[in-house]
Amino acid sequence: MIEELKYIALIDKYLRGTLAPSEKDEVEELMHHNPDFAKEVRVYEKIYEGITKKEKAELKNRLRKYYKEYQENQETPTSDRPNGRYRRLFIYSGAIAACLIIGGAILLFNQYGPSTSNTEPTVVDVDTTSTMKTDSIFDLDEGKLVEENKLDKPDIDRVQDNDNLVNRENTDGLQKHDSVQNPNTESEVQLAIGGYKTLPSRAVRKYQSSRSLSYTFHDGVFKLYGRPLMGKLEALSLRILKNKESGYFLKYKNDYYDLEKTKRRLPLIKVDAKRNNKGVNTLFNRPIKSVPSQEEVTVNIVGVQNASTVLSELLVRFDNDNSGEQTYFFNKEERQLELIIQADLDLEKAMVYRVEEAGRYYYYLVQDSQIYALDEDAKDATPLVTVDITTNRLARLFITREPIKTVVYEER
Amino acid sequence: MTDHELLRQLKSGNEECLGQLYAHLGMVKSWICRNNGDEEDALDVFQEAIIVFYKNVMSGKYEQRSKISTYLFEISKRQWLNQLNRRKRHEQPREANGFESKFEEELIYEVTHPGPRLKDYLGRAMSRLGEPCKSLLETAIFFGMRMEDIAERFNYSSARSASQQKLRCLKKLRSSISYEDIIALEQ
Repeated sequence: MIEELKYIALIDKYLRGTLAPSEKDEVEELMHHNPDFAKEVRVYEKIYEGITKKEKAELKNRLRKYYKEYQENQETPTSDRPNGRYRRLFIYSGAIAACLIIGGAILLFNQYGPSTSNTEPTVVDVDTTSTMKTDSIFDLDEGKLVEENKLDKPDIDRVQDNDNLVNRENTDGLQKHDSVQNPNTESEVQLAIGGYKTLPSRAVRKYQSSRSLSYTFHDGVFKLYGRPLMGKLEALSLRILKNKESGYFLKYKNDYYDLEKTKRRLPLIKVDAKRNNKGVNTLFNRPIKSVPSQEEVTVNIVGVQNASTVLSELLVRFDNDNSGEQTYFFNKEERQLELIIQADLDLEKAMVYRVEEAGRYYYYLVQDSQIYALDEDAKDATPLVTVDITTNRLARLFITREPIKTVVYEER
Repeated sequence: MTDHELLRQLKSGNEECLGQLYAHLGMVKSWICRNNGDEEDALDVFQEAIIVFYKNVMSGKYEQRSKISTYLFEISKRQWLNQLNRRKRHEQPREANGFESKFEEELIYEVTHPGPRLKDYLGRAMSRLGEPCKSLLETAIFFGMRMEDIAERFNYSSARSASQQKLRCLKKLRSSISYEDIIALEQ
């Protein structure tokens, strides 16, 4: 039996058809004059053939399983299928971008005509803000696009914007409000509505709890997206494991998830015991014994800011110049909801969130560590009250969380 | 999931993403049903197409020139046409001399499926081999994955060290197999 690795390497290349010309001669020589070598070639041929057949049969079985799962998923359209979600997302985001750009362009051209020589930006002054629709919508386009880029959010989250599609289309006329997000026109608009400042639209957000989890994992930092409500205890119970093949796994609530080093957000995918990759089998064939390793890792539960999306249906205005009580009220227009706040807010820091849970909306005003719960039914000036996070579960969304330092556990 | 994302996930080992490809089964089904096949044929052919696609992705041979759905459809079409041709060739002599060729076919079946099968024999040898060798060899031999990619997936420092590891695994596997046994196995 030829054991030398060199010969095995030659046989391997021969069977895979990757021999270099000089090696070809060598193999031919060996095949003719070395019966042991020729015998080995036949054995390895059988080995390769056997492995290929075995693998193909196993893959076929797994494919049947995936097909079954696919069919089951098809039967329950409410399930969390990334497939449909991604597809919808791309169609919708494409459609929205196209509508905004084309719409903006058409309006602009209609207003000035294609032969216009006026290439200067239109100056928007106090008196004209309300009527200069073209400008505001055009600004909105850029603003929105910039906004979308800035958010740097993966597709999974933006899918929540789907609901917006209908609203946005219906509220074309109202979109001029959003133009305030463009810094060039901001001050003018604020003057126009008399003393009130409008919260930039990036600071008015909605959050819908999602079932899908995603993560990034690089340079010793693990960030978990999609569970902003995760408590510290639960976060501490997250464990990052490394098996003998140096594949990483996340253990969360007795489930294992595959991890890879990634700067891009990836969905967390549960490890399937039957699946055979990264040596997962070693993890499941025997009880997992793990010990802390030297490798440090910072676990970061990503907060609601990054799990929320812009809420365009709500316009928030506030008046800093207040001497008395801090108050707020909601003003329901036909299609637009306005929130008017009398309080000392910082344009840069204040955020308003609409949290959706069980079909209901809950509104919160957040600035630094101050969290105020807002009642949508408050029609008259209502005092702003800070929320008690021990009793208001949703308000815990807004607590700033410190990253947790821990270590990777190694399989023993 | 976009094509791009799917490819990435597959390369990083998330095989169950393949399930999503069944979204494209519909067009293969309708094409095969219009071309002398039935739904079962379509499912078989499509499964083969997924395997071809998957292996090409893993071995780095897949180039994203068109959409995955188009690619799968093309492979399915080709496979089905080949199958139809093969069937034709088999059917013609049978029509001329039905009994004999049927008998022949059975005979072939008898001869080619004797006792233990090669794949089962290898299956046992591979489980005795244990990890990481088992996965390493499966990935290298069945998928023909490049050594650079294997090094990355199995965390070896370089393609060279992954290669060395593969050869050592082959040697280990070979030492557990007897020449007489394996040569005797026909299939």
